[in-house]
Amino acid sequence: MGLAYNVYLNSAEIYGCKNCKAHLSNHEDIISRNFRGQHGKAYLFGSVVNVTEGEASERNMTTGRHVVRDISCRQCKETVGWKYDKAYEASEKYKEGKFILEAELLCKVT
Amino acid sequence: MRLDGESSSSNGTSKAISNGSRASSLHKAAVSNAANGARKSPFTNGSSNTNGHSSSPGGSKPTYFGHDREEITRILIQSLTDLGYRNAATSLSQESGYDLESPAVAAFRNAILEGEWAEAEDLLFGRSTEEGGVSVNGNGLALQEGIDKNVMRFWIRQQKFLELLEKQDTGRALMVIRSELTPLYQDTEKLHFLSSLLMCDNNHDLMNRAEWDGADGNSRHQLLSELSKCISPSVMLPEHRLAILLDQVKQSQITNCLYHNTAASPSLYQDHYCDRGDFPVNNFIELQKHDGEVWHVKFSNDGKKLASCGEDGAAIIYEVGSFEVLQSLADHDSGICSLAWSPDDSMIVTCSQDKRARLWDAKTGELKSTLTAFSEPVSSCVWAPNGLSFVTGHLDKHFGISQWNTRGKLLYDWHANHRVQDLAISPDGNRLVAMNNEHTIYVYNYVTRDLEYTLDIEAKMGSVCITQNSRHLLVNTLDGEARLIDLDTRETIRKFKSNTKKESRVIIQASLGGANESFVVTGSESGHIFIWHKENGQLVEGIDGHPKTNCNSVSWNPKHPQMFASAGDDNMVRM
Repeated sequence: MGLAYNVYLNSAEIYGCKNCKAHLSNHEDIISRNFRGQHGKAYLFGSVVNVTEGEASERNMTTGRHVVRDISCRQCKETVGWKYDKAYEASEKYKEGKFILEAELLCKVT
Repeated sequence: MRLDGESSSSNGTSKAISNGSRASSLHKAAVSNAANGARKSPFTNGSSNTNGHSSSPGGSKPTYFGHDREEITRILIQSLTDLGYRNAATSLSQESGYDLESPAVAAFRNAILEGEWAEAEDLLFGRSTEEGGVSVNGNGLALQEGIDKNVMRFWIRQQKFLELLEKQDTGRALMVIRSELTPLYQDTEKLHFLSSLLMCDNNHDLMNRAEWDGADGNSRHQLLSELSKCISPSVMLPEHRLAILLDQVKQSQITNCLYHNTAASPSLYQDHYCDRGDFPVNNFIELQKHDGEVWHVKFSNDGKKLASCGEDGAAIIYEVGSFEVLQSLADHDSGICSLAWSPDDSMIVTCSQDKRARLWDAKTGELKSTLTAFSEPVSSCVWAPNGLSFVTGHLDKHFGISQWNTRGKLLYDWHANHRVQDLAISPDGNRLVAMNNEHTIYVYNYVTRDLEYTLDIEAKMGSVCITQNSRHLLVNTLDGEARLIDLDTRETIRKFKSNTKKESRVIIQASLGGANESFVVTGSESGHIFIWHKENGQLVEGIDGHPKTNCNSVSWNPKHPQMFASAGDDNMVRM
């Protein structure tokens, strides 16, 4: 889709794609570390960059029904986590619009 | 040419008389107040009679199509003198009775050129001793509003001082400083500087330090020009007035001419107006040699070749004219973001997202060297004007800008602590402009490699480009706007808006083109190519170049202003 450079973040601790080191999010953007994904630990982030979103699908997760879409690194196309579009239960509403990045698929970029 | 308000007796005889012959009606005309003023001699020269003898004070003089006759005549006399037609000038001034300069001014001019400083000052400011109670203008030459007479005195005395120094007459020079320059309370630094010149040993040193070229050189003329700018223009005409006026006319015609695409100066014979037919708006060739999106396209400096590069990692060189593929440089692993021709078009540098830059020979297509040493994509490169080295910009935070020589060795690391998305170098080799991927532009002095200043544009930027005269910077912002910024004053001179509403997510390049670089052209995400007139900011054309896909970059042929190339996401390069 035309030439588009990656977005670069400026902060002390940046998480990037394990594969290609593209910046994904800041350490300060972590909202919660109490999540589990397919590969183990995962963190809830407020904002991520350099990702492309996939199709929305409804899934049953440990916390209930949600509408989520997978997100993958823009550069190397590897899946890195998912985004919550909609949560059906009121107690899970806080997740809407936020992103999950799996710790296994991330690396720290200085 | 007679006014109707004259005596009716002349009306009867005038009907048979055209402008040419006047002899028969002269006697009657001598009685009545003819339109052109009373005639002294019964015969005119038979040449154009629009100039009458104006020495008689009576009678209204008709204006020359609304312009003051005196002004026109004096300007004409001045231009004739400038052109070297002295006889014509003197006969014109005789015939019209107007002098280019009054005797006082002529004497003043003479005094300056001959070096008679005291006389010059007197003439300029009026003899304060004789005619007691002198008003500000006294008997001197009328000056412009708000001009400080002391400044003018200072200049005259400074010239006097420098000439005395040249003659090695330091005693008198010292006297001049003490008695004449110091009381004027001018800039004390200048005074100190001039006193330091007393220390100079010889004339060469003096001339170098003062940047003054001696009594025999142009300095007296220059002094005269400076002073004449301060004197009221009706007394002493500004130099080359007619030429200045004609320049202004040409400029305004060019500015108003939307499609002006030629470098030739418009003729004075008729109003200048360019036709749209000469302007390139039609797509005449499509080149579809790329397997992926085409991101960047650029003509060589001599206009004979065209290079394009894109997502498929290949750069292709075409020959302009037949548009055959000359070379295909395909050695990069991922997309090529940009390329640059060396000033003599013998080499090309390609920068790509696989974090490498490569140097190729443009004629043989051979890879000369590969530059690796980057941890992030190389975003752009520019050649130094001497063709011996080139500078690459990267998205690496610490490595930002590096300079290499043509053998592929790293010459300098510019220590730019910002990421560089695009680079531009001024053709005079003074400045390097780097654009980072947020909102800031960094301007470096190319020679010293120091950061000159930074500019914050409040929008994300796509590309930067410098004009041929090295004074203006064209910045393309991704919200559909391009701006022209003056590099010296840092002000935004002009904005060029297109009507795209949404912000573009991809990099779109804007560039300058056309004869004399009079157009600003850019692509857009909607596939349209927008062309603006650089001087008046008007949108000249909006061409739908690449339907439904992005148009990433446009390049204008530097030698054939009738041609430009655009690159788009439909894998095509269109001409």
